[in-house]
This record gives sequence, C-alpha cells and structure tokens, in this order.
Amino acid sequence: MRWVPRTLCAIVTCLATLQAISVSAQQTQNSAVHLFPKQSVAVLSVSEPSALIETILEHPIRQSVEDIEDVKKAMKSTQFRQLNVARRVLEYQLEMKWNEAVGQLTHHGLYAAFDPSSNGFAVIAHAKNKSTLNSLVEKLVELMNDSKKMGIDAKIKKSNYRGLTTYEVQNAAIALLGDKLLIASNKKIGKDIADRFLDKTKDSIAHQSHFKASQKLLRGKSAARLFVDLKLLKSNKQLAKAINNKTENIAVELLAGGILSNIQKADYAVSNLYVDKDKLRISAATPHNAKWVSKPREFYFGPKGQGVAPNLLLPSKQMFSITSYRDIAGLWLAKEDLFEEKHIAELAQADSQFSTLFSGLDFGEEILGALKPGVQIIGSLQDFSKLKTPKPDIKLPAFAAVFQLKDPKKIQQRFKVGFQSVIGFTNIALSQQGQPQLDMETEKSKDAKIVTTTYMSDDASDKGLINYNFSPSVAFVGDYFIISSTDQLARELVQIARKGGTKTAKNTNSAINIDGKALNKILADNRDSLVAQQMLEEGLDEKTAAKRIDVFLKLLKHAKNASLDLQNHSDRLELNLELNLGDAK
Amino acid sequence: MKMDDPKSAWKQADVKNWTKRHVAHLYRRAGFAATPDELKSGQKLGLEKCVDRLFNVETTKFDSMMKKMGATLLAARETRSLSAWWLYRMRFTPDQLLEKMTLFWHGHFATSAAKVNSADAMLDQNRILRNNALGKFEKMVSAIARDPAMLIYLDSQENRKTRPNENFARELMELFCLESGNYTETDIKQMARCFTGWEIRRKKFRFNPYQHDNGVKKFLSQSGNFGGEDAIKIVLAQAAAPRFIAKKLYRFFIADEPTPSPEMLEPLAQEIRKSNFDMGKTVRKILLSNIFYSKQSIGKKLRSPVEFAVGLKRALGASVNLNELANRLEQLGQLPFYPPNVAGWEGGRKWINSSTLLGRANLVGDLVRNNNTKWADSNLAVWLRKQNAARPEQAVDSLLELLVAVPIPGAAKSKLVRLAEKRGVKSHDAVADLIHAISLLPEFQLS
Amino acid sequence: MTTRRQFLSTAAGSTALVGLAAGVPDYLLAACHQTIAEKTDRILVVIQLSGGNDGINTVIPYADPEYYKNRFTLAVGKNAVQKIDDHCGFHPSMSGFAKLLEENRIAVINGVGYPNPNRSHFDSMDLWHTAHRRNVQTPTGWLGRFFDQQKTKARDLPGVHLGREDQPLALAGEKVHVPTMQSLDDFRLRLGNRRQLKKLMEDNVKVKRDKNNELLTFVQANTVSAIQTSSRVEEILGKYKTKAQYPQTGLGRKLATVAQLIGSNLKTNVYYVTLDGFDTHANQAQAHAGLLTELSDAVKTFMDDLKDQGNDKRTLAFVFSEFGRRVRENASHGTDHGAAAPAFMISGSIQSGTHGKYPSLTDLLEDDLKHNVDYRSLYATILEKWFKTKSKPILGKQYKTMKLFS
Repeated sequence: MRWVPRTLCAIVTCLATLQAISVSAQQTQNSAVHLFPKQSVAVLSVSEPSALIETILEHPIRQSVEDIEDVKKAMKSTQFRQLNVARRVLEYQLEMKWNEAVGQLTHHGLYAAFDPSSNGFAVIAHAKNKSTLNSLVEKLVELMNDSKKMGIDAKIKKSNYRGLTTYEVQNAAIALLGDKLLIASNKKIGKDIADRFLDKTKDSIAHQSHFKASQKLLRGKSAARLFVDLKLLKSNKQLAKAINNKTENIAVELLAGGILSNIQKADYAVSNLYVDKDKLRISAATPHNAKWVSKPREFYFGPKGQGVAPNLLLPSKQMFSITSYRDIAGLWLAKEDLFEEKHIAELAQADSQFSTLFSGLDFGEEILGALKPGVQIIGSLQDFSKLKTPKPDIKLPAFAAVFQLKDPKKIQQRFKVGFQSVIGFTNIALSQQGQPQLDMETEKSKDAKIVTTTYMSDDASDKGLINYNFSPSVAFVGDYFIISSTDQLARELVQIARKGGTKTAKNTNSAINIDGKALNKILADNRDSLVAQQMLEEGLDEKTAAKRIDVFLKLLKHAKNASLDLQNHSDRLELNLELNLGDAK
Repeated sequence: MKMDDPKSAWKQADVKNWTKRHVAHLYRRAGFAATPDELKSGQKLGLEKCVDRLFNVETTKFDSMMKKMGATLLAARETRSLSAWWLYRMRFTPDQLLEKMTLFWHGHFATSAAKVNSADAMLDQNRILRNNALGKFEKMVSAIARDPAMLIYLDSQENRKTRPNENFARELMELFCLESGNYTETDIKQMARCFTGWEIRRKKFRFNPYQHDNGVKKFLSQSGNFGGEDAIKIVLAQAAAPRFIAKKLYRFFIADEPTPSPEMLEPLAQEIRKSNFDMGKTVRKILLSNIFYSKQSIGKKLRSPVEFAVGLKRALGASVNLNELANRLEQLGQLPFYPPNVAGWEGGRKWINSSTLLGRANLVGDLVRNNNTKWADSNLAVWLRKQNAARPEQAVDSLLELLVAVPIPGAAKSKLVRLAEKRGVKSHDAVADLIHAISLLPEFQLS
Repeated sequence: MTTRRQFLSTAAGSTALVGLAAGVPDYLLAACHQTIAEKTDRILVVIQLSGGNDGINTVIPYADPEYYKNRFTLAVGKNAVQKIDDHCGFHPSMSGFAKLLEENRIAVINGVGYPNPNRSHFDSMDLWHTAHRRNVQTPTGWLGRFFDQQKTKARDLPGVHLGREDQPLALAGEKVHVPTMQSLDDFRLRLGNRRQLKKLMEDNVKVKRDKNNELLTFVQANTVSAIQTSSRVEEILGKYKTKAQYPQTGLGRKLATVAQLIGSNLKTNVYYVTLDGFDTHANQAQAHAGLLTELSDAVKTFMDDLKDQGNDKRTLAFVFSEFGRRVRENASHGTDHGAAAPAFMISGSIQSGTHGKYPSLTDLLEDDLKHNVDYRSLYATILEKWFKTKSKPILGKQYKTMKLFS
C-alpha cells in the first residue's frame, strides 16, 4: 500500500487512533458555529453535505462532464487513481460507501471558518451522535494499526489538552468535541475552539451582533451558506486600496460601480448556495444604505437609490437580454471623479470622435443627456427564411440596444441624422474593401419611424457573406429609441414597445437573462465552423475534432436558462445567479 | 564524388548503400520530412521505389476534407485563416511532394493575400497551383495568366487596346518564364498587345473582344496576329525558358549556392524541353539523379521557415495550434499566402539572422514542451522506444539520423550523448530536451 | 551587480562575449565583432505621429494675432505657452520638450511638407514612407532602401519595428527584412532553467567544423551572434535596471524597450515606433493635450535614460506626422486635414532651437500652411549628415541638406 498518499493516510490514521473521551450523554444544542473564534473573517456552513454530494453525483449533467477530453485525462491521472484506491480501502474498512460515511460524520452539517488573528483554519464535522462518531473512529483506528504493521507511519503525535485527547500531525490538530470532530490547521485556533467547547463561553462568532444581523439578510433554503466579515477584510491595506481605487475603465464602472461603493461601506456579506437536480442558485447579499453611494456613482442606482431597470422588450426568439438602470449621461459627466487621467484622456478622444458624428453636439451633455436612465441590450435568433438578401454561411444572432428619450421630438432628428452619417462612412469603407453597400429606407407606420438599411446583393460572388447577418436599423416609437443590427428585430421590438414590454420586478436594478435553447441553436447552426476551427487549433483530423465539439454541444444542452439579477432594497443589495439545468435534449 | 561532369550529374544515381539518411534527405527536399516509419520502409525499398512512392499518391478523402474545411473557414472571409488551412494541409497530406511543389509554385507565381484581399480568389489560385504542380508548365502559365488573384496582384485587371498592360507582360517574361536579359523592352511592348482584352471583372476572368488588339505583333523573332495563348507558347519556345525553370528547380531541390553554371543546367533544361515542360517528369529526374545524392546537394540548402516547422512536426508526429504557428512563421519571414513581393521569397541565407535563429530555437522549445501539443504516440518517450532506441547513444543516433541533414562533429555528438545518459531517455521531458538540444546545433538549419 | 558604466565599458569585449570567446575559432570571432555596436555607430529612432498632428497647436505662434483670430476656442493663452522664442512656443502639455530645449537637445523644424500636398491619410503617409516613390510594383521605403544600401556581412538586425500595427512601409526593403517586435521577449532564448541546454548549445557552436560547407559556417556565425544577442538581452533585463521612470503610456513603454535595446549594444541603426490618435476633427482640446503629454513625457524620459547610458549623443529621435491641420478651427471645436507642420529632431548632438521659418498664417495655399522645408531634405540630412551615406540613390534626387548636427 505504499502508493497511498501519505497525507491521506495521516488523516485516516488520526481519525483511527482517536479514542472516545468523556462520553457526554447530553447532546450539546449549540451548532458548530457557536464554537468558532470571535474574529472569524469567513464562516462556511454546509447543512447536509452528503445530500449535496449525492445531488452532484447523480446529476444528469455528470455524464456529459465526464465526456470532456480534459476531464477524461484528469480521471486517468495517477493522482486520481491513487485517490480511488484509497477510497476503496476506506470503504472496505468502514463497511459502507464513502458517501454514507460522510453522511454519518456530517449528519448535522459540516462547518469551516478562517480566523486571521490565529492565522488558522478550522473544520468541524457535526456527526449524527457521539456513538456514531466513536464507532467510525474505532474502525479507522484498526486501519491505522494495520498500516503501521506494514510499515506506514503517518507520524501522528497523540496528546492531551485539558482532558481532551488530541492528535497532532505536523502543525494541524484534531480533537473530538462531544459529537463534533474538530480539525484545526494550527494549535492556536485549535485551543481557542477547544476552550470555548469546554468552558461553554458565549463569545463565538455566532454570538456577535454583525453575524446575527447577517443571517437575516438572505432567506430561502440553502445547501451551503457563507459569511464574510468585510470590515475585517478591508483592514488589509492592499485589498482596501483595490476597492477604493478608481476603476480602470468605463465598462467596469458601468458593471460594478455601485457595488464597489457598497462594498466600501458594508461591514459583512452573506452568500447562499442552493442545488437540486434542476437548479443551481447562488445568492449574495450585503447590507445597503442609499447614502453610501458616492455622488459620482449616482448614475448606478439613481437618485436616492430608487432606480429600477426598464421594462423588458422580449422578442420571441430571445437569446439573451440585459436590462439595467444606468444613467450613462451621469456617468460621462462624472468621469473626472471616477477615472484616472489616462482613461479620461482616452474618453476625451472618443468624445471628440462621437461629436463629429453628431455635428458637434456635446457628446456627454446633449447626446447622452437626451437619454433617460436605463438601457436594454437584447440578443435574438434570426429567422433566416425571411431574409431578402442571400443567406449568410455563418449564422449570427441579431442584437439591439433600447433606450428611452427624455424629449423625443427634440432629439429624434439628430439621432436619425447621426445614424445616416454612420451609414455613410460605413458605405465608403465597405466599398473600399470591395464589399456590398447598405441601402437605406425609412418607414413610417402609425406612431413609429423605422430607418432600415439592407446590403445590396446583385453580385454572385457575394453569396454567403457574413455581412448578410446584418441590416443595421434604428427605430423611434413613443419615447423609445431602438438601435438594432437587423431590421427584423427592430420591427419586432417596435411592436412589443407599443404594448409596453414586460414589467421588471420591483427593486430590480439590473437583470441578465440567457436562454439556453437559443444559445444551443446558434452553436448547432455553426457546428461546421466550430469543427474547422478546432481542427486548426488542435491539429486534429475531422472525426476527432467533430467528436470534441459534439461533447461540448451536448454539455451545453443541459443549460436551459441562466439569469443574474441585482436587487436594490432599502436595507440590502442582493445579487442572484440562477442556472436552470436539465437533461440534454 | 564531385559532380563536375554535367552529363553524369543528371544520370540516374546508383547508390550502393541506400541508407536511412538518404531517405531522410529525399523526404526533406521532396516533401517536408520523413517519419521514423517512413525511414525504415524507405530504406528497404531502395532508391527508385522510394522515389516512386512519392508520386501519384491517393488523396481523395483528404482532399474532400480539406475542401470542406476550406469552405467553412472562408465563410468568415478571413484571409489569415488561409495560412493556417494550408499549414494544416502541409502537415497532414499523404502527398508531400505535391504539396511541396505547390509551395514552390506559390513562391514562383508570388501573389499576396494582403493586396488581393479575397480569400476566395487566393484559394482558387492555390487550387490552380496544386492541380498543375506536377503537370505541364504551359497549362500552369495559361491558367495563372487568367487567374483573378494574380492579375489583381499585378495591377493588371485591365488590359486595353489603347493601353496594353506592359506590367503584366514584363512579369510574365521576367519573373515567370524567361528571367531578365532574354527579351527587350520592345518585346514587352509588343507582347503586351497580345493580352489586350484580358480582364478581371467582379473577380472573374473574361475575355473582352472589343478591347483586343487584332493587329500583327512582332516580338521574340516571331510575327503574327497573336493572342494571349500564342504569346505564352512563343515565350516558352525560347531557349531561355527551360534554362530558367531548370535554374529555379536546381535551387529549390539541389542547393542554395553556388549558382550552377549553364553547362551544369543544360541536361536538365533539355529534359524540360524534351518532355514539353512536364514538371512531374522533370522532378522525377532530379530526385533520381546523381547530383541530388552528392556532396553538392546534401546539406547544401537552408531550411525555410515552413520546411523547418512543418518538417519537424511531421518527423515527430506532433500537432499544434496552426493559427499560432502561422503567426510564428510570419515572424520568421515566411507566411504562406503572404510573400513579401512579386519575386516571392528569396530564401537561402536570407532566412537566417539573430532574430530568426532565436525564433526557430524558441519554436522548437515551445513545440516539444507545450502541454497543448499533441503527439501521435502518447508522448516522446513512447515514440522513441518504438524506434528501438532505448539506450542513450542509440537515441542520439536515431534522432540525428531523422532530423539532421549532415553528420555532426564528434565533440558535439559526445556532448549530446552525455546529456542523454545523464537525463535518460525514458521520460517525455528528457527526450524533449534532447530534441531541443539537437535543434540548437547549427547543422539543424541545413536541409 | 555591475553598474551601468562597468557593464558598458566592457561592451567591446562584452561579458557575454568573453565567456563565449574562449575557444571560439578566429574566423567566427571576427564575424561576432561586427555585430556589436561601435561607439561611433549612430542610431535613428523614428517616432511617427499618425492621424495628422495639429502643428499650429503644438508649436504655437503666440505672438501672431491671426492665431487667436482663427482658433476661437482652441487657442492657447499667451501665458500658458512654453516659449521657445519671441514668436512661438510649445503647447502647455509639452513640458518635456520645453526642458529638452533648455538642455539644448531638441531642434524644431518649422513648416515641413511637400509640394502638392495630399490630404489623404494613406496617400500622404505613403509619400512620407517612400519619399515619393510609391508608384512602382513593389514600393520600398526610404529606410528599407537605406538598409539595402548598407554593405555589411554578418549583422544584427539593421532595424526594428516595435509595435502591434502593420510594419510601416518606410522599413520595407528589397533585400533586407526588418522584424516587428512587441517586446524584448522576442529576443530571448527560452530555455527555461535548463542551464545544461544553454551550456550545451554554447559548447556545441564553438566546435570546429568543416570550413568547406560555407552555409554551415554562415549559420554557425549567426548562431554565435544570436546567442550573444540573447545573452546581452538577458543581462540587460537582469542587471540593467534603469532609474528612469517611464510614463505608463503606450509610447512610454515602447521607448523604454527601445532604450533597453540600445543599451544592450545591438548593432541596430533604426528603431521605429508610432503614436496614433492625432486625427482630431472634433473637440480637439483635451484629446490633443493628452497626446502631446504622452509624446513629450515619453521622449524626455527616453533621452534622459540614453544620457545615463552614455548613448544620447549617438542617438537621434525624429518625430513627424503625415500632414498638419488647417489654420481655421472648424465648427466642431476641432481642425481638419491640412498640409505643412513642424517636425522635431532630438539628440545630444543636435543644433538645438528652431530651424526654418514659421509658415505664415495668412499667406496660404488652399487655406493651408505653405511648406518651407521639403521633408526629403530632412531625410537627406539624416542620411548624409547623420549616417554618412549617399542620399541620392535612396531618395531619387539630391535634396538640400540642413545644418542640424553639431
């Protein structure tokens, strides 16, 4: 058995030589968290580890994951095989499947904490009861004794601390605390917890007010829960600097500016994980106060933090949609406060170029300023059967951005003319490259004005050009201003806009949604291209390349839907990521 | 055996001891490289059969796969992916000689995608080059003279009666068929008139009779109402034509330097003339000749970047990311489909300078150590074992035979053996280091 | 740790070469020496400003009332200008250039252009790159022709283009190939920690070989020089830590790499870098100021670094743009394509100050500044007075040279 990794043997041996000590008839009511150090910066609670493991192992997605080439390779590696052997030895000794063993050992949960003051990491497994824990331990003692006979000595020192039998392996310490098993990364944190157990002191992290408050932030079932003390984290200078620094670029600011402001002031954060065979959800929350958002970042949540994402215009073949409350004009005007010199200079250059397009209107104040806060970006599958131009060989989705105008009548013409200029420049560039040009048409229907462009295509050699995925258009209806990559999508959005769109849930600041089926269709449509690229990237022959691509496509079929939303409540910020999974159909 | 006598230089070689090194040399020049298996089987076949098996190789399945891949890549109209596509072809084709000749013709009829800017047109031209690579040269010239990519590259999309395109005529004679000094400016002016009416419209060739000059043209001692096809025939009938092609083939197959004397080239030129410019027959003659296996040829060429990279991969059975390889080859000075100018790649000593040598050394190092490189056998150690080269000295011998064109000095070899003895040759890393060390020898750059 | 001076003083028998020299055959050593720069070898660093730099707001004619009349919102106040002489001064962002002037290391050449100005970016840039010789089958650049004209045997790269953009036509020659690099990594031999391999390589290249194979000798000589180059670059990267704090801008980083290459004594004569973004048709003020800051700060740091190395007298930086911009500001607070503009030459050996008359803001050609200096004169001056080589074969004609170097 020499090939069994030493550390695993060490831990096994530890557990094995543990002897039951002071059998306490009373089960302690306190959870493991009530034993963790006061200054724990992070606490992880997994309520039913074995159920969680089971869900993951039984998940329909498992087979598809195992088909992946890299995963296959890893599973053939020596380390993985050694792990497997060790597992089987253990199962034989324990006379039960490893997951069952884990289940008994962590029947009431598995908990972990990190404490910077002792620089220590502690894990507590809360077993079903003391006798179960003891019997498990006994069997492992046997195993260790057997292996010692064969010459494997894990160098564990048996010791004693205040009456508790402890075991030390290098720096780590292990102790049996009633029905709980403690594994501590160093003696300091080990002692802290053992003391608290023996003296029953009420000064653990669970007793702290900020921890108690954090547990109220997120409701709902969870398989695992994480608590992080942000205040303590921020005492680390480097981290604090990173958070407080100006963001490097405008995209980051748009995505996370408000969140950064919140993290600067929030004292703690919690996160929940929920998994079942259909769904995976991760939620995170921090306490929030509208006053915490700095003035330059007001563009993010709105004045007094009351901004709500605009109603979604959902096309029938939606692939993804993003809706978000953002006052882009506000961001632009506050750029001096938000960005470094260098980036401001870059933005100034962009400003200069955009202004040219809009005949000298000030980009920040007059162009961006004409938009109401709130933006939507939508991706949708295209119906290529309805194309007036030839079909492209590579099929791309259609994209659109939707804004609302503060004063439509005033600014509509400017935008329309700006669009004309862009198309004009584009046509010249296209003709220089020998590509077809765009022909512009304006349609007026009832209350809407739609300006569409289509590629001219009389040249046989232009068949299948990727350009035919695009027919850039803009549309105005009501106070909506729609920029779309295809006329089809523009028209569809106009119709939806007339009806008002899908109302976003209260308190939603931003929401992203991805439709798995649509995503799959796009990739499946372009499978040949993916295979060719794979052949070039990896130097494979067609069959092997195709097999790999198909494995990847199958894996993706499990994803039915993904969504991410940021909620802005009066007392908290909540970020929810949800992934809906299913069978690969 | 010094090749002073032109007649005997081109006679079929009678190599008494046909070794693996001969096979390696043949494959290095006629293709990109031989694998250990090809060395073994080639040695057993002997000279003539070994050369024979380079011709008429079955490639239908491979061709259709490449065609499909090409079409898919082109959907994005990316000219850069063409280079990766062709590198893939060079690496995996069963017909190395055909592919090598296509590369030769690409340098001869140089056209760059940077100017032509149409992946379709470049691919079409590539097809023309491949279809005619070992066929009749006249057919090749005819096809190229009408090829949209070529005409766009030469700014010769138009050729009007009132303004005959002299540029096209000049390049036809100077670069493609005769070499300068074998015609006069008047010849150019007159010959240009033969091609009037040859146009490219919307990336397609067409003959415009209204623009064609129907008068009598006088050039190269011929006179008559010649059209383009006639002009090509006349040009190829010149004595200089076969000599020019012979000279280019000599440089490509025999040696970079010194330039062969006209007497030395004469038998080859005569073969070209006799076979009516049949390139297949001519190349066969070269590959069977005495001079090809003589000291005048072995190790007397410098590997071009493409030969260097593709050759190494073929020999070792490695597959890499071809897009990345294309970028590296560009830095080394030879990106397929992007010759620097209308004269193609000068080659020879021009391939070598500090920067390219470092680039080549790094290319080998990255190839053998990159986790993403795929090997035909699971790793280099297994691959080496299959060659019965289990002991360090055997391993070094085996690798040198496979990869290096000339014997290396004893002192250098013993250092390599010592390295192999110290590290062993049982792990992939150890063999990788050994191969890298070999690639750092100056001899490694020789073809 | 060797100081810069110590390291450089052993350049001729550089530490790298000394290590290698033991046992290197004579004929190879001779070839090697040709690849190390002599103290007299001169270097040209071309800094191309792409887009058409607004010369009038770079070298500002603050004393001319026409300036203020034409640049309604873009004019820089008299007091903000960093004065060069009674007539003109640098834009306030260019403190770097102003300091170089105090140190007598910068020449401002006013009114550079050419007859029949072309206002297309591509065409005008092509003219600057080819020195007006672009209507040939394979256009070559003026520097490419310069390289072709040099006759040296075993040499390092004659020129290096540093950057991600396509290689400028100026460097294209018929025979010589100039590499495009993104960083010094391109010059390093990646052997990892395999010292064994490195030693093996160095030992093996020294072994005597059959002199009859000339190609092999050629490769051997180049291998030696490649190893040297790589070692020098490693040494530079490892030991040579410049005190100079280069601005973390695109141009700053490129010039930092150029300084490292110059410091490693490559026998490279020409380095080429570009700075893009000067096409300011609208809202020019802030964008242009940012670019001028980037330019002048990077160049000043670069020249200071070279001075520390002891190389600033033999290095010449040449800054140009494909054309200037119009006198009159347009309606978008920007300027449109123009013609003549100033060029700059910076060196420890330059005749500092202004050269050439500042073009008149009123005597215009099609509303643009008339040029007083043909840019090909600048090329001729660089070729003849700096590189000491004939300019006529390269430029096609004999152009008048200027007195720019001491």
